[in-house]
Amino acid sequence: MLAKLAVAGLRTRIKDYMVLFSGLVISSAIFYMFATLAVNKEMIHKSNDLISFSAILFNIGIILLAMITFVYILYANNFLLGMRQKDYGLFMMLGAKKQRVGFLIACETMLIGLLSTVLGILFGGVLSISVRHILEKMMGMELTYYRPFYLRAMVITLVIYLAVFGFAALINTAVMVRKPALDLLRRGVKPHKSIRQPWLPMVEVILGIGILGYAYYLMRHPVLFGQWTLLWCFVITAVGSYFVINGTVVAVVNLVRKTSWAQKQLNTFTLGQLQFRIQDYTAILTMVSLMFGLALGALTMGVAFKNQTEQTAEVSSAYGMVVYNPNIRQKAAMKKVTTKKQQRYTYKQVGTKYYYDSSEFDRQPYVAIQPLAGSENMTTNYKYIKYDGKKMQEHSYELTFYTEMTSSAFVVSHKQFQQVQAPAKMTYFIQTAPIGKTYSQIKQVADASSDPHQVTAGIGGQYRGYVTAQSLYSVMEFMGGFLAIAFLAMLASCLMFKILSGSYDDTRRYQMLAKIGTPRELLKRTIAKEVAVLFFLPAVLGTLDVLFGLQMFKLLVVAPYQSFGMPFVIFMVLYLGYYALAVWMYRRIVLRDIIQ
Amino acid sequence: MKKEQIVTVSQLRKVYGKKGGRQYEALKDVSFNVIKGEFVAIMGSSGAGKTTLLNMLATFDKPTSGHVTIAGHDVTSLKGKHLANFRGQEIGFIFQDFNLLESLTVAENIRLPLSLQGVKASQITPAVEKIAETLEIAPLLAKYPAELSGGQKQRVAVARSLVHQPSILLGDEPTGVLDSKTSREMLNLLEKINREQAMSILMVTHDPFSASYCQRIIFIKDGQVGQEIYRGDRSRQEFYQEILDVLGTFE
Repeated sequence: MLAKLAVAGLRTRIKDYMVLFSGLVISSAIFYMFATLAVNKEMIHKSNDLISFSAILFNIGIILLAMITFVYILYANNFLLGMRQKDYGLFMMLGAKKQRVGFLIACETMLIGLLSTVLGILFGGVLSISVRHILEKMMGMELTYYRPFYLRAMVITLVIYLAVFGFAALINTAVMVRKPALDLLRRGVKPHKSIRQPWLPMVEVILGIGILGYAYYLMRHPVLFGQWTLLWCFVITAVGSYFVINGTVVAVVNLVRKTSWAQKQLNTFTLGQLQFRIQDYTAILTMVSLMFGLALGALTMGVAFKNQTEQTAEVSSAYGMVVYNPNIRQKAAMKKVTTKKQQRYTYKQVGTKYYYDSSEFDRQPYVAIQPLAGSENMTTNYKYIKYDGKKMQEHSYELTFYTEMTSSAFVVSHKQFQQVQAPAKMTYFIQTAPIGKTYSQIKQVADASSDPHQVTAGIGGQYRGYVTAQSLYSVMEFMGGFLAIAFLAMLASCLMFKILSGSYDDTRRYQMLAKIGTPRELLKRTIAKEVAVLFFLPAVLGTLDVLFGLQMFKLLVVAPYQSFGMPFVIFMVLYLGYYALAVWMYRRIVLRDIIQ
Repeated sequence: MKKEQIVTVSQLRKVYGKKGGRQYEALKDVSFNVIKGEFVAIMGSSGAGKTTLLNMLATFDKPTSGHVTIAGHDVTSLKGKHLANFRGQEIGFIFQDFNLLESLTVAENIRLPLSLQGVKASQITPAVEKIAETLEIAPLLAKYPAELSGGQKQRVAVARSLVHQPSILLGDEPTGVLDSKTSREMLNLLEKINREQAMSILMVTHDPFSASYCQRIIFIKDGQVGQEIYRGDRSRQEFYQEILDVLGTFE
């Protein structure tokens, strides 16, 4: 009997459940997708270094995702609870035992959790297939051991999500069962919090702005605290944001309330709602602003890295292309590369040891890269220096960059070189036109290699730097992008659920306003205004955080601000979408029974 | 001299439920008039249909058939912006549980109807102060509802319902949640407003004591108008006795 009632209740609110569901499905889909990349043991061990490194990045991504998913599920469950509170109260009034109702709540929570996770895994699997395609193109190599439908990833996703849901179900049940049935039925008659001292908000705003100003100053001078700067910045930004949010709304409302603008239409109503609501919302708004900033920052950094692939490649070597023992086809392709200067050295290979003749470096000095002293930004401030034979004997490690990872290089005297028991081969060190232009030409040389499975087919120099950077940064950009979107989806959903939880209390108020003569249009606009403040206050703060925070990343990236545009646009489009959805749902809940 | 009718109800009928399903006839065939300046009560037991009737008058619900005319407007055919304007200009409604906005001060609560109708800020403040004086709540204007007693809250609600000088005041059990002393104060207040400002008042109540303050009582039973009794020149005590008699004979 109880089950019938429960199912009936579910049907009437199917649309609300859909929103909850979709958020959970997106979350578990992305989690699963990351898991297929991070926990595939075969893929990690058997593939090359680049893929293994990417796997580490994905692991970090998963941890971050898990943390915010946890918070998200708690909020989503809170919303669920709010929706069903009256029903549960009714069941208890009808005589259902508390344990039974508690059991029902737990069942419902777990059922939703199970369904959404399974659906998410399926959806994530489909996503993974297309992701594999994209990644292969980006990384330029085959992910032979990658499996879009990977049992281990499924299990991990299922276990983690069900664990979180189980935890949430426990909390829900405990909270619900403790409340007397009357409280549950009478929800919405809670009196508002008492009014605080009028001067307190102003103090908070000033304090908050001061703290944030300090945080932004720190971001411009990140070396003050060394490696702790980032963490310290994060903490004080959090504190500063909290005070700003808590104080600003109330302070502004207090100021505006006395103006004649406030006496127009429902402006005072909106002001009053905000003033009383904000205290409840400060924590989540602070979290949203920080997460917004983190996500936007991550995406911007990903794009920025990608945009500076060329510069990264240029810093890796003075030579556009370094080819060891080219075959005939490669030599033909090498002629087509726009060359500035070509140097040839003889070498002898014994196992993984490479020997070079130092006298050759006297005739053709090796060109090395040296960062300029005191440069903040490594990627543009460097110069070339030449190493003769003697210098090369000291700096022979430079040559290991051009051969495989496990190799070692020895620059020895002409006499010693003669004595090495191995066939003499040629290696070509070629300074080319800028790598951006010559990349495709050099790729022809790589494609003609006899050993295409070797890292960048054995071609060293800027080409290798370019390809490595490109694939690595592509992976980072890709991961950053997905993480940022997952973060955004979840934090916006959290905020949406929080706002919608308050909508049930508002139904009575809006009905009353309609009864005393408020046109429907005005009611709709009022809702939109209130939700707008709650949505965009953290977005503004988060964006400010990123704009200042990017200062810190000038150490790593040449021009982070130039990459800010597109990520910001993507973010705002998605965020606005969530805003529109929140307003639509709010209106549906609150204006449902209004007769006009 | 024929006195002006402020409310005309003709053949009002309300049926709940879908066609083909189980239907419930809340109002069968209700017709009556209210003259301008009258203080009328609609009485009946729970389920008699009086709240349904009030909702029709206040435009909170639409009838299945029949018409309601208030201050010359056929309210049953009003829609959208016209309906909202009508509510905000011609009707003052007193809810049983006050329905004040807790996040607004008393003054801000009272001025809501004026703000909605676009009255200039310079005119709003004197209007609010005036009605607050009439209802003896002027010292409370800067307070929040949470700081008020039940009786004070109801006065604020009455002030809000009068500030825009409507054609008629409608009340849904205005003394329903008040204790006897506060009820008495509230009813004296309503009587004063009716007398001094010639404000037409129509009040739904199940309480004979409250009804005795009115000049006329319409009894509703099973969705239809039963008796109507007038106070005339009698004292309130005498009228109260008659009300009890009528209620006694309903069984």
